[in-house]
Amino acid sequence: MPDVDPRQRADRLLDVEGLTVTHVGSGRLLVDGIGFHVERGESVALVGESGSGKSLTARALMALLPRGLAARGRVRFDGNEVSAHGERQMMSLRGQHLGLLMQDPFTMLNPLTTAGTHLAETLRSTTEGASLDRSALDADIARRLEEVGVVDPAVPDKYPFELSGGMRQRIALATALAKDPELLIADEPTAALDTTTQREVLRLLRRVQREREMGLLLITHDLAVAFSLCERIMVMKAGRIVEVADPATLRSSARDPYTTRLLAADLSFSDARREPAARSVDAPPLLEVRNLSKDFPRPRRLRRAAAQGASALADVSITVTEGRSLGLVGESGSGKSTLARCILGLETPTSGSIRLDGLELGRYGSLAKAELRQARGAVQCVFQDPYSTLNPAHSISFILTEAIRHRETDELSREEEEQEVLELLDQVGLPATFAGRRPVALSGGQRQRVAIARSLAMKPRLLICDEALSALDVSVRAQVLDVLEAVQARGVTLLFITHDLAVARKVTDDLVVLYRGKVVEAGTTAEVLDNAQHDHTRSLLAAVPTGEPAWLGGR
Amino acid sequence: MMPPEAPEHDASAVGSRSARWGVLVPVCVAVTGVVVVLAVLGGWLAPQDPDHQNLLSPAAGPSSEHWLGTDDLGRDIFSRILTGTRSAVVGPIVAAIGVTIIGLLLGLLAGFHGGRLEAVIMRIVDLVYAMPALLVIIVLIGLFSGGYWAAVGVLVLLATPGTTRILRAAVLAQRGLPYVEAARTVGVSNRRLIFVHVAPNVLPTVVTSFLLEFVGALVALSALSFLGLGVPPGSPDWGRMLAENRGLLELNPWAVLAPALMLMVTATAVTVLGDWLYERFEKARTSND
Amino acid sequence: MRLALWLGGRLAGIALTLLIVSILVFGILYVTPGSAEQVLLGTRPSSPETLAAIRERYHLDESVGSQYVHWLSSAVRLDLGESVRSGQDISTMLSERMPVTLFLAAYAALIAGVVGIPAGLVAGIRSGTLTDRAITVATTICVSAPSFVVGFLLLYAFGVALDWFPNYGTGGGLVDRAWHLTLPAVALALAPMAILARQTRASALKVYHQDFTTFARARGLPRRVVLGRYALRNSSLPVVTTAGLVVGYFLTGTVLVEQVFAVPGIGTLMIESVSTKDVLVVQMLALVIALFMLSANLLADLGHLALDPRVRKGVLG
Repeated sequence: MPDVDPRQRADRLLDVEGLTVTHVGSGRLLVDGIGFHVERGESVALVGESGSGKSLTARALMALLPRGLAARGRVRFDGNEVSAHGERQMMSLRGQHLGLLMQDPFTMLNPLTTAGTHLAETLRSTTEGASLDRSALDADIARRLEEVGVVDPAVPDKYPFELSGGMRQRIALATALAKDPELLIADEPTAALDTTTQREVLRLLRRVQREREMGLLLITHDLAVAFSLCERIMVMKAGRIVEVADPATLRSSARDPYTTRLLAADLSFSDARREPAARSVDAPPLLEVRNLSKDFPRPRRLRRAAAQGASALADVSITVTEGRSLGLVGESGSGKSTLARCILGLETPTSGSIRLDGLELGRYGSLAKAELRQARGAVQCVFQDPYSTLNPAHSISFILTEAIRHRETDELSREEEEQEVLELLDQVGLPATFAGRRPVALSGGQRQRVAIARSLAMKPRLLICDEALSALDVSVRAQVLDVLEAVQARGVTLLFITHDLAVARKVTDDLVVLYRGKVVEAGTTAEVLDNAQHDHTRSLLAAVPTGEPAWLGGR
Repeated sequence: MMPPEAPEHDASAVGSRSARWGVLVPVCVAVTGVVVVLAVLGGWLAPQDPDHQNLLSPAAGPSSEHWLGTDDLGRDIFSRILTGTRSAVVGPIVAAIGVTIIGLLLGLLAGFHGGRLEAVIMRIVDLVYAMPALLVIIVLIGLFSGGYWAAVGVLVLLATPGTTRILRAAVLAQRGLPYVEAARTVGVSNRRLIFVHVAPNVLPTVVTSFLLEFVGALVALSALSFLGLGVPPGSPDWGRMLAENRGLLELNPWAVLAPALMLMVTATAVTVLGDWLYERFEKARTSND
Repeated sequence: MRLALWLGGRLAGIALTLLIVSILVFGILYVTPGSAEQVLLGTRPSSPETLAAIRERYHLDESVGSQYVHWLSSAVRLDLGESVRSGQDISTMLSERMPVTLFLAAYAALIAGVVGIPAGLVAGIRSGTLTDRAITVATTICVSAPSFVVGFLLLYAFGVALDWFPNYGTGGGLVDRAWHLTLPAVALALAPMAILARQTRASALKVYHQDFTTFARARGLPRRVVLGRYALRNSSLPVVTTAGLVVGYFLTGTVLVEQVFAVPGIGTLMIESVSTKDVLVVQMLALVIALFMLSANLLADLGHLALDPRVRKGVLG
């Protein structure tokens, strides 16, 4: 921005010029000389995929970079140069003028102190706050909690582990705002939350920002969220800002090819399935789950309870028709992964039946060897976390060959095996050179494709995708989605577990909505999404970001 | 949801990892190598008979004839140190091998099977783990007048639970990962799952715990012989020499300092190697060849 | 109320464990080579009268079960009997030997805590710096250093060569005793100190890079609060967990270190009794040691309870 009146420039809340972040050891540039500004009371979004440097930018502004990274450049806050500040000066700036809200409400709060202590210690760290007496302090805490919509008087005495994710994020917001900063940097503030909670927290964020006339720098990977919350969008890629525009302009006429790609990859909710199902609803069922229940005994030790996190199922019945992909949607805790694990034999259901391909899978343990092999071949799964889905100790070809060998009753020759590994890689769009690599050399999307290839090696009729896309960046997600569509086209039926309704709309024919371990709605995808009957389905639908300010209520 | 950016924490430490170890590793490799060679050849390399008494020159300081001087019976300290390497090192190696094998099997069994078997194993393990091993050995070997190998045997029994706990935890950490579940859904047998999938990923822990068990056994066995248990009196053994030459600290300090330094240096060198190997394994396991 | 219930449960558990330990300890008499009379006779001249007196005194004609009951009930009444060797009253022996050992262990624990924890904290927070490397190398050397070996090195360096500290004896009065026991205490403290420092470093490193610490700094909280309430408190949890094991280490270590420095404490008593097969004394020492370790574990649990609200909720509801 070359032609700016210096006076106007001095009046800016935050003005950044030539900010770089380098890895000291290797000299690698992680943020490459970016410049931007935030006006008073303005809300600006910094949008980018993982590795773009957006979070490092936030950390650099706060002078809280992890060790081993160094920042350079000019940062002016409220007309004062702060980039030269030492730690002591930064300490008085942090919280008081520049606030930071982080991503994960489950790790952001001190597990050993109460919500009230978080606020109290922050309030007390100012000169005025230090002289507050106990009752004035309590009153202030109550007032500030009320601002973020927390009115329950018991909350200040609760420890983080006793509060839900959304509640924790509210406490964190109140704490970040406790010293009334003029600029709040919110780094993916809702990425760890359920979609319905995400909307509530974003609404809250916007209301607070407007009421306080506070500057907001929102860091996010989600263009739709940025569109509905911010007045100006900056798109960041590989350490550089590639485009800056207001939401309307960016949507209609993005100039940068990367932005265009992002926009295209960001599924619009109205995108229906490209290739409609081959079979009608009346075709014979491939998988029938009847009255399935799964209880988890209350774990005796507290630590285990947190580690397990499995959700129960109560009387769940679903039917998957061969050739028609079924979507299973619900928030975390709805039991959708538990259902998948029961079908795969990784959990034993408490009661009910699972019939697949003429086999009863409710008791995997009692299947004969041949039946077990048949079951393994019939249903396969792609798991959520691409980083631990492949054994780091083995090569890609080892992993795929193992699956091939477990499918075949007769031994294949070495050449046949190698040939098939290459075919599998080709099916998921990976070059043959990947066969010799170890998982650690692969990106998340590539690993997920190998995981798909491993499943395909078993020639399954049903492929369960358990949140298989949700850990991936949007542009990568689109590529993996293409692979899955190709898999569908080859006649494999998908059981698609997701919390993302836009993805569900795009790949599934039928849809089941799960809520607290129960099926609350089922039907064809179009019926369920366009004419939702159950309240929970409606609130899920309402929580899908539209990219319009109206999504967060009002203009 | 994906964490938007996960910058490597403590990135500087990663970059300077080799610098962090510096010359320490080559030195420790050399020390360990020398100790192993001495354990095999020590008796032959000794310039003099370690048991030859010379009452004419008791408790003499270092000289060209006796590099580290003599003890109160005029025996050559240097020869006794070299000869003593074997009893200092062999028992601990045997103990560490025993502990690691049993601990690995129990750890895999408990970590993988779960259920009642795990409960029984871990109950016993916790019980034994809570005992102060060395004290129990002192009482048992002392009252029974048990010998060196009896001490090694008891040591294995008492040290196994520690290794079992560590390896079980390592196995448990792997067991819940999707790659194990994926292999399971492909139909991989339990045995193959344990030995082909999980075992390579707990190898770093196995190697480290082997080396640490060696150090523990080295210290424990030499402590026993220092207390007069295990090896017979008068035998050339580092721990025994410490006890028998305590009175010579002023006349010929080397009679005490030499065995002390040998024990100290051996223990430290192997510990450092353990730490270093663990780091290397971890790096190799998670990086591309 | 819930706390009392929990505490009651724990105390009952400790009592049960002690009971099991006492059976094992009682068994020492029977597994020691030689018949029970011979073992209890020791080196005293054998005559039919003395043997009969021993049989009478220790109820050897009754069943093993009732022998055990007699033995246990006198132990509970602190009527511990006499040493087989010296004929001295065992409770007198224990009360003579105990203070110096307790002093030594407390002194060593103080050194280990006061040096180890801050060193670990500094190393963890300044990871990668020269300070960190120095502390890491030092702890690596100390962690593997056997206490008795270190004892000899200290004894030579500071007792003989430099002659700053006395070579033996325990001294009278607090200051003199501390001066006499400094070298043994340092020898005893070195390895636990290194373990504490390593553990504190590891957890401080983890805690200091955790979101909640960053969030605390992002709010401009004073350094004191960030270090104390965030870093130190969160890193202390794993350290507290190992406190019980560290006590076990001290007990083992003190046996060796007392031997090196000829300190007449519980440890030397243990070795004397074991090598002279003074079974009655060994039995009582074993019970005392078990009691110590169980109490240390109880204290560690209480520490957890005080520090961690999650544990508190699990226990107290």
